[in-house]
Formats: sequence, structure tokens, C-alpha cells
Amino acid sequence: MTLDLFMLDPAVALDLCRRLVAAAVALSGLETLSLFRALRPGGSLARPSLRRHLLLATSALRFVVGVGLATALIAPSWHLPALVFLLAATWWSHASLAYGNSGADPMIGVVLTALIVGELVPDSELVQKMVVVTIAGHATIAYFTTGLTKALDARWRSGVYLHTTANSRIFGRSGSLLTDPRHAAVASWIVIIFELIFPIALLDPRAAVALCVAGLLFHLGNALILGLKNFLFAFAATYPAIIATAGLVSWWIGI
Amino acid sequence: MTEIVVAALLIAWLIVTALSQIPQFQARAPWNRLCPSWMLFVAPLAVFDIELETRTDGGAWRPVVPPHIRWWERPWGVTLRHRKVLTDLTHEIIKTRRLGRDAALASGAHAILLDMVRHRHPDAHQFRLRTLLEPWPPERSRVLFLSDPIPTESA
Repeated sequence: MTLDLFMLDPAVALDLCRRLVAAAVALSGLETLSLFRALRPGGSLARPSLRRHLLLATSALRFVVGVGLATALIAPSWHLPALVFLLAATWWSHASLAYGNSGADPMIGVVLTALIVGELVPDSELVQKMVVVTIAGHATIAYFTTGLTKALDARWRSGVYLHTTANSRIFGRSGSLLTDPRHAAVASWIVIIFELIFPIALLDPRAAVALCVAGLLFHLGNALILGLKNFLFAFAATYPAIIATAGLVSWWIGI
Repeated sequence: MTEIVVAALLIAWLIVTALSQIPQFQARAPWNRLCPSWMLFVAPLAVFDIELETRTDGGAWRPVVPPHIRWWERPWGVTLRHRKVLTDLTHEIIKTRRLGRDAALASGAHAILLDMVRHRHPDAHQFRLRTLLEPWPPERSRVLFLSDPIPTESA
């Protein structure tokens, strides 16, 4: 199959990254809004009145600005302030809530920061390419580190960790597909291998597309089975950059 | 010139993030927001499923029941969030307890738990955090934290 089919222009990739990360922030804003009862006195996230109202107002704004960027309703000249607002508001909300935050929030912060750098030097092709490579690099580091950490843990290799967490109350005991420890062991190894081989995505656009599709299915499964919704959009926001980087690398090494 | 400097900074950022994955080189706040460590889902299993329980003076332990989740809260994973908050609070209590029991009692996590217990069970005399999963190593207690007697509001 021709390689051109899998190539993605860095400028197009950055546009897709921006839309997807904005969707992730909008979703996160909605989630925080849904916590307003938990933020009241006696709730598990109780905050003083002023901070509670500020958190809710910021979350509503994160939703509005996130939807605006994701749907391109915000004009390009407003992209930089919108991205800066989303980054500041996401970090402030993360710090203000302090407990129960999503592990996907740091990836949202990384993608937003890289996009802001790209917006600061909009006319430089080199910077646009480096922003794409940076986002892809961060995602690859995230997958590989997580995979390596799991591979070094005997409880992950035996499937005990996945079996226990999927059947725990925190994840709603919704892992009905993983009630059998043997299935959990197989699923553990699939996850470990997927995460460990993810760096291959940076070498070839075809491998990048295949691994990003696998990643989407992986995060979709986690969202449906374990309720980890935020990872889906946060990590999907890095996929256009991964595919574009693979195109740049294959061009550099002359494939 | 500007674009070379920006490109170099982006490369440096990637290198520092890669180094941050090694525990000895982990970035400290606020830099850990830019260079996050990605060791996800490797926490001790015992802290995943936590029950917050309370009792009156001499009474039996009973769970602190979280508020009923409304239908419009379900799609946003509010239940998962409540449980994750309890897990994080337990993590913090266990971590600060290493510095001594006084540090655990002075922690923000303890203050939040105390506030939660007082609001939902005003007659509570004591609370505890108990893991529902097998502790590891197995000889460890399922009770991860036992509070001091709760002073009454008038005291």
C-alpha cells in the first residue's frame, strides 16, 4: 500500500491535536461541573464557598472555550489566548480539586503547552514540526514508561493486578470480561506488549496508524469497562502528531 | 534564530521528561506538570478499594454512605470520582503517617475525612479507613488508619 495514504501534514496534525485536546478539556469541565454537590460542605471534595463558585465558573468557561476550539467557532487569531486560558484553568482546577484527579490531566497540559509554543512562532515550519515531534515524543514516553513499569511488576505479569482492579469496587466491579483470572493474564500481556512496542509508531506511518487505532480501542475499552473516560480524548489528541512524526521520520531516514 | 532556540527548548523538554521517568530524577512541583511521570496503575492494590467507617462510642462500625448519585451525575463518573477521592485521601494519610501519627492527624486528608464524617454522622465517635482488598503483604492489617476519638463540636 502506498505510504502517501498514511502521511499527515504537520499543520493539519496540529489542527487536529488542538481540536481533540479542546474536546478533552470541555469534557473535563463538564465532569467538574457535575461534582457541584461533592464540593459543598461535608462532600468528599468540600471547598470554601468562594473557591467552590470559582471552580464551577472556571469549569463552565472551560467547557464553552473547549467546545469553541474543538468546533473551530473560535477564530484563528484567538487560538493563542484560548489555549492559554484552557491550560491555566486546567492546571488551577487540578490543583484546587487536589484529590480524585484524572491521570490524563498531565497529558492535556503537555499538549496544550506544546500547542501554545507553536502559536507563539506561527510562521516557522521548523517550530511547527518540532511541536508535532514533541507531542508525539511525550505520548511515546508515556506509553513506554507505563508498559515497562507493568512489565517489571510480577503482579501485572501474572494478571493479578488487572484482575483485582477490574473487579474492584472503585471501578464499579464492571470488569465482567475479566472475571476469569486467565483472561486477565492474557489481557495484561496484550496491554504490556502494546505499550512496550508503541515507540515503533514513530518509525513508520503505517505502524503509526495501526498503533493509534489499537490505542483508540484500548482507551475506548478502558472507558467502557473501567470508566476511565478522560484518557480517550487526552491521548487521542496526541495521535495526529504521532502519525505526522512518523511521516517526518520516514522522510528523514529515506523510506 | 528564535526558531532554533524554541526548537532546542522543545528538545530539552522531551529529554527532561524522559529522565523524569526514572524515580531518582522525578521532577518536583510545579515542574512535574510539564514533565509528568507516567507510572500509572502500579499503586499498592490494598489502597484501591477503601471503606470509610465510623462508630459511636462503643458501637459497631458502619460505613459512611456516600450521597445518592442522581441520574444526571452518572454519565460523568461521579461515583468513580468519589471512590478515587477516598483512595487519594488514604494514600495521603498513609504517606504522612510515615512522618509520625501527629503528621497524619495534621494532614489535609485527615481534616477532609473528619469534616465528611462529622457532616454525615454527627454522633460519630471515631472513624477508620479499611481496605476491602487483600492487603499485601498478607499479614498486614485491613484497617489502614484508625482515628483518635472525635472531639465533640462544643469541646
